[in-house]
Amino acid sequence: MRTAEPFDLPPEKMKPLGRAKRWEWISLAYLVSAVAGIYFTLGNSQAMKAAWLEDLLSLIPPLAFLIGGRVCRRRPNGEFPYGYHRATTIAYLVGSLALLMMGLYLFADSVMKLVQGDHPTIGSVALFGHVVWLGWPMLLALLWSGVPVVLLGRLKLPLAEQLHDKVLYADAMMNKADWMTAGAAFLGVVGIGLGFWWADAVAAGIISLDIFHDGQKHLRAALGDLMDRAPRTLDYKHPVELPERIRHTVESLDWVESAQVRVREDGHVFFADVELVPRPGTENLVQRLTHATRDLKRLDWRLHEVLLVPVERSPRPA
Amino acid sequence: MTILRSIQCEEGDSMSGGGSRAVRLLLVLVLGAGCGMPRDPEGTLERVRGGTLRAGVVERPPFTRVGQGPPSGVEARLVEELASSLGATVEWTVGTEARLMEALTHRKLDLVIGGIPADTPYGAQVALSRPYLSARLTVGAPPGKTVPRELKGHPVAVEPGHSAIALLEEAGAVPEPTPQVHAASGLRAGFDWQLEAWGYTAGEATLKNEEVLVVVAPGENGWLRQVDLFLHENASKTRERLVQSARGEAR
Repeated sequence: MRTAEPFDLPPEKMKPLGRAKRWEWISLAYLVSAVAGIYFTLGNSQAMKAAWLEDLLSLIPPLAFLIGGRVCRRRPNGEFPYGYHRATTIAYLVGSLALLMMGLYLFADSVMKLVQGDHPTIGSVALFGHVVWLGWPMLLALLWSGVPVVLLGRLKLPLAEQLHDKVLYADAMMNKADWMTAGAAFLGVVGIGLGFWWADAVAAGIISLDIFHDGQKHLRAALGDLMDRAPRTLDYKHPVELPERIRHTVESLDWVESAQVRVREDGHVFFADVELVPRPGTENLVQRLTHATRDLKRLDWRLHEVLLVPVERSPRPA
Repeated sequence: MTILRSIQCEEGDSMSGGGSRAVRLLLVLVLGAGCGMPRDPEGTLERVRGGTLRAGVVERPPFTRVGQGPPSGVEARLVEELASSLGATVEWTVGTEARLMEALTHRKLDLVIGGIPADTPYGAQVALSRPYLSARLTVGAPPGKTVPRELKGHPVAVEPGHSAIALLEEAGAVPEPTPQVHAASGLRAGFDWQLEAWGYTAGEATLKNEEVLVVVAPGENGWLRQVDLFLHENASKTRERLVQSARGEAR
């Protein structure tokens, strides 16, 4: 059984990785505090429930990054000859399914509450001998869950780009957008306070649609990754140019007539298969192939393995 | 977050453009409107003020007593005082818990009293006030005696049909249902305020904790807050009255 070479990040990427890990740990600690803060002030506000759920679900990407990051650096072995790079993608698939289901459930629940005309009750708590309306601590908890998170997102975004890490990228984007969730819940609670009983369920409905939307976006991305879709950029908007660059590089070799390239992405790394037609009379083919392989790997730090297969005639272009 | 983003007026960066403006708007909203929060969707507090307070009564002496004339008892008196603090008169409705809770759910009543515990099964359909009384159900010993550390085999007098019977059996004691508990000799089971009224010493072991509160029409948060504030101010007075009431019964 031929196993893939173990993949090690290039030395210049180790620093951003360490920083990313540190920020993800900080994110986890912060999110747990935000989740706890909202949990203790839930009352029976639907919007609070939705915000709480969203916060709970936003624990998934940092966890996927930290755990998946550990798993995917395991050495390839006889049982997993391609290595463990897909661990993060699978963590992602599971997380996005959770988002999707939760979003749907919450949306249905909010619509039911609206239809039935449920009037949410927010009572009072005793704080330091005063009877305080529970709405105030709720709003505080929402501020705590909605403001610092945006800064975290902004810190993580450049790291995600440097490491080309999809999980980290999705996480940073989710964080950056999280203030809107908190804001919607905030308006829901203020709405209850002003006597608009429907504001709560409406806010929860908007948040749940958003959770659903996030879920389907990530689910599609994860499925695409698992189906070996042609590699795309971090935001999944454009195909990467790498396959074209490899083909171009191979075809510019003076002993190559034509080449066809296929690239698949495994988590952070690329595996490329190249079929090439050598010019008639090429000597030292094996040596040339070996050199070309080594040179091709320098095209991109994520290009982990290149297979050059000499063929007689050019295969049909894809 | 595209859905929420589309609500924003500009496709800007989160906190810089639309974000800080949204935050500012929120602050203005909250500070401007916050003074009157929470308000009632159905305006209960406004209606009660200078009008009528519709109160439902479930009988549970000494909290509530039902007989000829208007209901009496510690909680009934409390509701009368709440009403007069708002310049309102009380319109009483006496009934079973199930019926009154249903009326409350449809906001046909403003509150229901009757020594309602915090773990009432109707909790999800109505609004619960903050508990104004925390009571401990325990075993008490006559003056000068102490409750044995181990209840095993000891006879304990208890009101017939009281929830303490099963709990006493679990603790290994021998519950003796007695119609006039306050006249029984030896150990008695009761809430701490009852034992206090009888001059009994409460034991260490707690059979159960009960928090007593008032139930209010759901979603009427301004009204609920008014009730909560009133209960909070009168909590110690109410407990004192409970003890006196239990003492009066025992004589």
